[in-house]
Amino acid sequence: MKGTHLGELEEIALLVVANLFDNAYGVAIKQEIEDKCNRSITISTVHNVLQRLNEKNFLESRYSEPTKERGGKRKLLFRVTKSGQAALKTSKSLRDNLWSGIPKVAFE
Amino acid sequence: MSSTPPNWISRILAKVCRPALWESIEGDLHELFESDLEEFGNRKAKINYVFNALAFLRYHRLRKHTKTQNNMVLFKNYLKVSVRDLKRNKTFASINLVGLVAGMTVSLLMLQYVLFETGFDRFNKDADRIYRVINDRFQNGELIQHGTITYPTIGPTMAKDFPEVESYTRMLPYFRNYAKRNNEQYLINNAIVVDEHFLTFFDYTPIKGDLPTGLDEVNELVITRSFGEKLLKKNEELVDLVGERIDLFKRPFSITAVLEDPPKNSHLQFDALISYKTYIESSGEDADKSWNWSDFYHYVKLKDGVKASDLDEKIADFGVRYFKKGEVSGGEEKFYLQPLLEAHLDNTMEYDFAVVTNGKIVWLMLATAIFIIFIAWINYINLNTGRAIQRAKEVGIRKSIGALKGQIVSQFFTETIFLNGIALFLSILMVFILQPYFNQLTGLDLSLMILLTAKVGSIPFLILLMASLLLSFAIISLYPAYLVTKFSTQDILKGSFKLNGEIVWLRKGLVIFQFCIAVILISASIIVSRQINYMVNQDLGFDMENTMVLYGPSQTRFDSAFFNTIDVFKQKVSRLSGVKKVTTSNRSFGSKMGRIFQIKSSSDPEAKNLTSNFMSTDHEFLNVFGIDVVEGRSLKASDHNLDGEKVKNIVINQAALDLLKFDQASEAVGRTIDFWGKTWTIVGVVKNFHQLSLHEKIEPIIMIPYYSTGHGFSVKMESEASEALISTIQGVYNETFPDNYFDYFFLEDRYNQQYTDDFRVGKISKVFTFLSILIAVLGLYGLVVMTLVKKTKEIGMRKVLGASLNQLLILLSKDFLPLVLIAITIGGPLSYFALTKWKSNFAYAPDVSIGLIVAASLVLILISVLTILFQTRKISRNNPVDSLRCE
Repeated sequence: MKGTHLGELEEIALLVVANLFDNAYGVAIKQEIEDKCNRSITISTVHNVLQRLNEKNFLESRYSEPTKERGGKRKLLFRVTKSGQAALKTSKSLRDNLWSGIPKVAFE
Repeated sequence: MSSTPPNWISRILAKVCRPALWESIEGDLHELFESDLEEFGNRKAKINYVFNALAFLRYHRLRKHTKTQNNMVLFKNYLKVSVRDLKRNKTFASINLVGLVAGMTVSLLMLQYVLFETGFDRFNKDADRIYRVINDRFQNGELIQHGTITYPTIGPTMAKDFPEVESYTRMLPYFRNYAKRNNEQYLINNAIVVDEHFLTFFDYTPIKGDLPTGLDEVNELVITRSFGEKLLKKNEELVDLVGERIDLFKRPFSITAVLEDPPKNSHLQFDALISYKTYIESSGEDADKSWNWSDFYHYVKLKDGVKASDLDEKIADFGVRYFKKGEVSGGEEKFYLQPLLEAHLDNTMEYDFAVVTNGKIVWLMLATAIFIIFIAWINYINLNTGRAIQRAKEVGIRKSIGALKGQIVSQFFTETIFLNGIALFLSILMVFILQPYFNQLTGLDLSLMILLTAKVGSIPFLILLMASLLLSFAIISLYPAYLVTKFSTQDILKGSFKLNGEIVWLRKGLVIFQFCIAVILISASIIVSRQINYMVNQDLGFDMENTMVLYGPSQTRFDSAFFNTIDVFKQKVSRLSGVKKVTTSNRSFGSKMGRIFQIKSSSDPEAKNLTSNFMSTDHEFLNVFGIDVVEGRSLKASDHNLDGEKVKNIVINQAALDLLKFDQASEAVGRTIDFWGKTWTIVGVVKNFHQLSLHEKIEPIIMIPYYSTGHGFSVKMESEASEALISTIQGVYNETFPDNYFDYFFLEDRYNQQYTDDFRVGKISKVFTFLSILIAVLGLYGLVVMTLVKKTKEIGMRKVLGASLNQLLILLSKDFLPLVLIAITIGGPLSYFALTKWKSNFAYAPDVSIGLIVAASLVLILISVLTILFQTRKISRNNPVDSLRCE
């Protein structure tokens, strides 16, 4: 079992996959990240992150039915696994926890 | 729009990516391509596709995990086994390493040298279309001059007559001139008078100035960086010199351009270029239009796609048409074109002013270096085939647990590369250490860089080198590998197999080859050093010792006081303590004399159109240099005359007797000959002397009693010149010849410069010989050791039965000595032929003696016997009990 720590890009990718539910594949994820996060990312990096998350068991994948677009190639669709959800929740609560701990004076 | 993504990149990627992911990756790439196509168009989309695809290679997670990993394990094992094997057999490992390192080091150094010498003039972008015009001159059917020196009309006429000629350039070298700028004198060592095409014909790099028109007009001058830097005053930069005035030949020149110095690998070297129009203006129309003034050099550029051989016939016809069988210039003229890229490697041209060398020697050096590395590789093959048997068990076991034939071969290949790689690495280190010495030896500024940058045709040399190394490695590792894989695994493991005859013969053949080369090299180096000794110690017919030559007072006017000025100077200098005598002459020894064509002798009305060299000297010349008069008298002071037209007495050398058709010296004295439009009287005949090196035959010489501003002073001293004496002489010189520049050289140095190539060959051949003997003997030593290991028991038994050391020695020698003897019988005659051929480079050389070759062979036999003896003694001292017990 690899480490369960979630990197920044990994976290974003995981969230985006969750957002895109059932239509989360390479190009769609790339566009979503570019649109929502306002950053550019290459398709190879997206694939790499997805693969990393897959190896950590945070994602599961399956091939779609073949279509006429994409040169007849199937899409590899991703979905967040139970442990993926858990990792996201851990990450969020960690942040919330830290946010709530900030004294009011600090940000004034 | 129908457009598909670039196919090739996806094919590559498909091989590299993990198969499970590939379909989705390809799909995604395709989808991006389609959207790019709509947004940016076909071109941009394709480019993006390639970049996106390539980006996948960054991530190992997405790449295929191939079988290589398994091979890597095997590969590591091969390396481990090689290291262990080398450690176990230190003798063989070191024999191989020493040989390989020596061979590779020598080859790497020699390659630098060869690449430099063969890389001349390639910086010209049209180099392969440029040709040098060669002019051979015949008189009475005999070749009297072979050279690049010819008439000013040749280039322009060829360009006019032959549509194949795109352009031409002509030039005339001008040595040692003094330029004046703001009352300071500057020496221009090599100036060339060149026509207006020169700067665009060749590709010399400009720093500043307009090249196409730089030499179009009278009094225009182009200078190089190093001469320009001498001219610079405070706060002045090189580029400021353009447009400046500089005085030369008492004319005001304007500097029109500054060039970088000609590259070291340019066969033309110069400090300055003078416009040809200036020369025409000062020397008359003949400098442009003459058909019998032979001082000029021409190059032509052929149009793209024209072969020089297409012009052969036309050019032969050209010589006949314009020179009408000798009516025009006194000789029959034949012309040829020589490719520019061959110019540097041809030193046979008379009166050549380009930087040239003997190309045959360059290739010979390379061949020898390669032979030496062959000798080292032969050791590798021989020792490895021997050991292949010892390692047969290892191979047997590998095979029995499923190693394929290919894997065994690749194991041997790995080992070869491993050992040779170490050797290559060490030799590169050696090259770094030896480079300064090598550069001193060659007199060149070489480094490994030249191997990296050189090209052969359009292929980088480095790639060729790597390819030929790999090929050689494959060949030398293949044979041992082939041997071991051939045996049946069963036989190997049972230990019941033997070397077959084929291997034994191969090994013997290789040893013979090695020793053959060794014999040739030993003989060669003995003969070469004997030749050098002979040349250095030969009686030259004149006394060269302790002579200092001062350049003539070329800036002084030739007027009625000139003779007196010269005589006063000579007297003043010869009165200095340490100086014996002083004489003046136009040429010194070791530099080629001028020639007189169309001489007529009174001995025979048929004897006309003869050609002889001449020297202008003062009357003391013969006396000062100790040249003996064999008949008649030497020159006298009264033979000189201020009016050159009235000078009529001359002295000739013995070689001229034959030319002028006199049977003996006494017959010639008092007789007349005609040249330069008047009649001369021979007053004396002198003994032949070697005006040029022993490479050259002694040629006819006519000595004419002239004084001239260009004549240098030869100062004969009692011993080597001291600093003090030189500066005293300089003082007298500057006082007598105020406008001139004092400079000098020593005659012996200048004369011996003619032997630079020979000295170099002498030194290098010694190194080569030493290495070839070393490596060949090491190989022999290795073979002896190997045989002894096999014969340990036999020797033990023989000793028990009472064999003496001598008997043991004979037992072992009979395996190896016959090989050495065969090598000598082949190599001896070969070296005899090769060296006799080499001897023809010299007009004067002792015959190649068979005795010396026999001596060389004996040396080799002796070394071999000693090698065998050394090992046998060691073994025979062992207690036979130990050797018989050993398993």
